[in-house]
Amino acid sequence: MTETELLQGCLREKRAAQHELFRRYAGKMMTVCLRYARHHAEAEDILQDAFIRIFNNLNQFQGKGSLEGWIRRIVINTSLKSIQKMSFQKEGLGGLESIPEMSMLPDVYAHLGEQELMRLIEQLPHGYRTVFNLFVIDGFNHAEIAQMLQIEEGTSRSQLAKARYMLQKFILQQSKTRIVKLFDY
Amino acid sequence: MKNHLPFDQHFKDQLQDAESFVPNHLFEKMMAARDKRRGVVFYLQNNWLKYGMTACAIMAGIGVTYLKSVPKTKNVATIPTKTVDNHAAHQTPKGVVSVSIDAPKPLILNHLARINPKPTDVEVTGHAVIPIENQRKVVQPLVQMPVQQQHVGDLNPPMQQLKTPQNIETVLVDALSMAVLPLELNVATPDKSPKKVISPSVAPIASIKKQHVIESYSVKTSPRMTFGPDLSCPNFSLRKPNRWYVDIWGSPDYVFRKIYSNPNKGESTNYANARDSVEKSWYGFSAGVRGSLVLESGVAIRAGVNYLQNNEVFDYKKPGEVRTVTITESIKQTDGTTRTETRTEKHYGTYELKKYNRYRSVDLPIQLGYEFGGMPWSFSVNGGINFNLTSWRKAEILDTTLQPFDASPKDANVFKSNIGTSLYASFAAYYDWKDYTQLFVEPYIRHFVSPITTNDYVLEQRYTDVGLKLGVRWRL
Repeated sequence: MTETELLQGCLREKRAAQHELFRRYAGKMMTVCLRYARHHAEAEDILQDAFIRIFNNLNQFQGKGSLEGWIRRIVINTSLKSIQKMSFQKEGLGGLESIPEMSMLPDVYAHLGEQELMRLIEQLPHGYRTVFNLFVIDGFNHAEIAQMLQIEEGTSRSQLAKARYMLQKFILQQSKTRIVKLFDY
Repeated sequence: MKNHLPFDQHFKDQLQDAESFVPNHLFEKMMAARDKRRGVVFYLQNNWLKYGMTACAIMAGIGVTYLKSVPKTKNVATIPTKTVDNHAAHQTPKGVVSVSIDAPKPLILNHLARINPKPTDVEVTGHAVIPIENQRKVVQPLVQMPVQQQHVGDLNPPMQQLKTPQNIETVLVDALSMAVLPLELNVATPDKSPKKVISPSVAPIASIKKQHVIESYSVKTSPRMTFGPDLSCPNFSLRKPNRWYVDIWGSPDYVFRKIYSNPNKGESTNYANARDSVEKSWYGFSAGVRGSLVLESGVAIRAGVNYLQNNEVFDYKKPGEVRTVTITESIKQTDGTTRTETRTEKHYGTYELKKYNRYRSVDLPIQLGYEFGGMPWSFSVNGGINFNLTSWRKAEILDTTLQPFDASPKDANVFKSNIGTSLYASFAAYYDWKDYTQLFVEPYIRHFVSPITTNDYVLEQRYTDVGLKLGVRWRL
């Protein structure tokens, strides 16, 4: 089934087409939801809400970009909506100035696969995680993030820096643990 | 900043297109949630064939009923018509006649034209077609009154006697309770030219009475004379014309409740019994408004809005409750200082919690009925479906650990926000109170097809509501 046929089927409320659309994109979008949600159950709820919105608003997709991009944007928006009660201002490790610059060689993290990285992201405080996801993985700039989250651009930058710092600390801790384990052998 | 690029890129590469496991049931769950959110519109969209066919069947039924109720008429376009003075007609005194807007005027006029084909010594010009519903009442003024050159003469034998105005009246007030009053008479006598006995202007019945032919035209319903054995005459019907009504009512209600295990969630009989033991039906009430179209055949189509509030008492008692109470005493001493003593006490007793739960819903009732009877009493039997528009509640119930908890919020996931459809059946009695106004009493039963609890809840809670509507209805 081509994408056009798929869209037409969904617009006609054909259950088979809707199921196919869901099957094609649900896996990737679930990863998006898991990155933003606090736990798996919440991610499922977000995915469900997002696809309801997708099916309800599919007629608004004008085909200007890719369907996947459009779907991803809705999933991200739904995720943000579900976590909008979180305060991005209150979380933090102090001012931006207090964060030491940390440079990490790629060798330290190159071995980390998606599961490990997801686990690391999950450990981040919610505000950091959201900004990190939006900026690093979903490709939004700070101005867009500030608008989406209704925060200052500076706050976005600050949260991103703190997120990076924490992630690198986590990675270093993991590395030490691995080294210790290696020595144990 | 640039130092972070490889770090960021690694995350992006690994995670941007990563796929995660999605549970199989999620699609069905999502579609069910979507269907639920879309409500009635969705059902109509997804079941358009079913609902369309049902609607067509209903429309066809109504159409057939309507067509059957309308007598076959000949072309009456040639019959000149004249508008009667509404105000004058409306002032027709009580106790004389009632004037209906919906009388099958052309039929009677056709009928008269057919039985009196030739001019003769008595000429009647114009008719007021007046159904006599009840001699004590004045109903609707006639809006449009046909006028026809009419001749009552050269009648077939049974009609020959009807050459005088007095007899004309007797004829015209036939067994069908339809009076055709001549508005202008030209009575020809052997030695005189036709004599006009009533002004050609259409006068109110009251003023007709005051004129010199008043005795002749006092309307009586007792004569059972008809227009003669003219078999080709169209049949007249005693059916009432289509009528529109608006009803408003209030009703005391009692709701029978059943709670049992949700078959999809396993056995929870103990929990169901525990809930039943602390929650009791109390009383309820409903109120609403509806519009009715009553066809000539008596078939009634009704639709409106109904509010139902069902009340229950949550009466929870937990014996053996222990509470530690901290008591702080301030004792003023003789030297003016204050000494504070604090001690704790254990209180044993029964924890009691009594709350009044309120389950509310707003529904859209669609009903079909059949009305019969006369005046002043008439009756109807009704059946239909109530489509729930929304429901909400304030409810304290036991949770699965048998502790009280507030199940009111939607997040509690106990009660549905739309409790679906319910089946409705009733019998109504109407009493003619005033012109255009009836009082009615309508005992009814309403059964909720689906439980009011969500599919995820371990129990199913079902309702059957009985009530007694007391209301007023107005004919439009």
